[in-house]
Amino acid sequence: MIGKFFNQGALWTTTMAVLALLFVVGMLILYCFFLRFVSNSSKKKQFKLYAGWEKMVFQYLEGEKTTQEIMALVPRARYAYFQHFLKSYLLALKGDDFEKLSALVTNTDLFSCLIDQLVHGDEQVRSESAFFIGLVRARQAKEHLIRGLEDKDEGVYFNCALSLAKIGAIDTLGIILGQFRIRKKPSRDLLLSILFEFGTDACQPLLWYLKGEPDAFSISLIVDALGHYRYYPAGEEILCILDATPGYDVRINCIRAVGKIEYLGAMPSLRECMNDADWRVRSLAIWALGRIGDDSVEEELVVYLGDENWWVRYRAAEALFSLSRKGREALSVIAQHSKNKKAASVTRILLTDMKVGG
Amino acid sequence: MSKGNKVQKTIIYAEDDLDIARLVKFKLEREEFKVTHFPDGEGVIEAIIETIPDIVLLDVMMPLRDGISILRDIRANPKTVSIPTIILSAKGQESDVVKGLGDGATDYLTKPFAPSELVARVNKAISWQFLQ
Repeated sequence: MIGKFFNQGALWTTTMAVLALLFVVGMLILYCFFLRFVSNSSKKKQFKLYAGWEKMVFQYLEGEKTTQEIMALVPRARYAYFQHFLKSYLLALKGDDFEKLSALVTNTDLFSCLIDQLVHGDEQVRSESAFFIGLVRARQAKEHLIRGLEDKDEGVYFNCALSLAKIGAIDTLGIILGQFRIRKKPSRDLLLSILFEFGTDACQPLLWYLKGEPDAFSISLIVDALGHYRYYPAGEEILCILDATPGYDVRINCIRAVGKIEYLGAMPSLRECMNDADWRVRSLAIWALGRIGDDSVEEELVVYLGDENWWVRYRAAEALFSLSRKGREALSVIAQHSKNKKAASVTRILLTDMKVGG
Repeated sequence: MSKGNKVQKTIIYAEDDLDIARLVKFKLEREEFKVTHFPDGEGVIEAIIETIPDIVLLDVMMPLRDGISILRDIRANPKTVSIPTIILSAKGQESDVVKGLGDGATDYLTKPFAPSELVARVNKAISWQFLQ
């Protein structure tokens, strides 16, 4: 009796659970359909708007429509859509057409809307607005972008800095670096992409900032950027940092930079670095010597063909190969006749790689 | 198709950025070209062999088939080998340009680009073709 009652109770509970589950699944399916409907109708609306704007904007680019005629078609409530519509053209075009599209933003009410968005409550809106201002090269927004550098959101800071770089505001480099230093989670790629956006104009001020920079992380990045641009006047300062700093990250970036710059004065320091306990320092120093050196370093490089670390041995063989014909001949002899197995092996690999790579 | 006495030149244009493709098509059609656009790499080589256009414009990075492999097919086929082909790509490194020209591109234009420059290069490539 009790067992039967228990079975009926369990059956009832299971049935109710299954029904509840089916109800939840049904509601979820309905919700998905609703979301899809909303998304489709939004896309259709967007497509219709864009198709209308496209025709007019193409005519505007041909000089058949004026800025006022275009903006008359775009109500303020549709500015976000219009911004999105223009974005792909602004990214892909240059020359007269870019200038015309840029004027469509900077000479109209859309520009004041972008400035207002820089202080919007939503960080996504602030960030996109900062990016767009840079995209249209709106130099008149410089002061607003500088204020945006203080934004607590990383994305807004990054896009404001990137836009300042795009408009060539080189005088704001110090503020950008200062703000970067106080960020909680600084990203290496983030600052480098800003510095690269400034182009070679940033080299001279970067060298000036490097001399007074207290932060090791920022020093590494500035050195990296100067090396990227092969800015020869920075060689001496980078060398001073290399000789005075024990920190691995800074040293690595200094060695790479003097190598890229091909700074001749770095030869003695690089020779010292070849004896470093860390194989990463040794291999990079050998790589740099391969770029800067002459046949006077060949004998030393041959010694490193027998280094305990494979990568150091490979770099030494690579450096010998690139330095001179004499170095290449020495490698051929080592590959065939050396009793040092490590040296012979790495040399054979290098020579095969070079033949394959041309 | 012809307008007056002028024979309309035909272009096959493969580009997956549809916004830019429509703008380029608009600009070229204004210059009296007849443009057939492909939104990806599929079917492009077949269309080129079938229609023998006056010039081909290719984006490099496209879904289904990249522009460089299409270019190689154009140059490998005796029927299409002499068709001027311009690469229009976001890949603007020196090595990319050298590779594109090495694979037989008549010209190489990097994005961002000026549409008026593209039209000028198209006209130049076709003129050279006639001179040869």
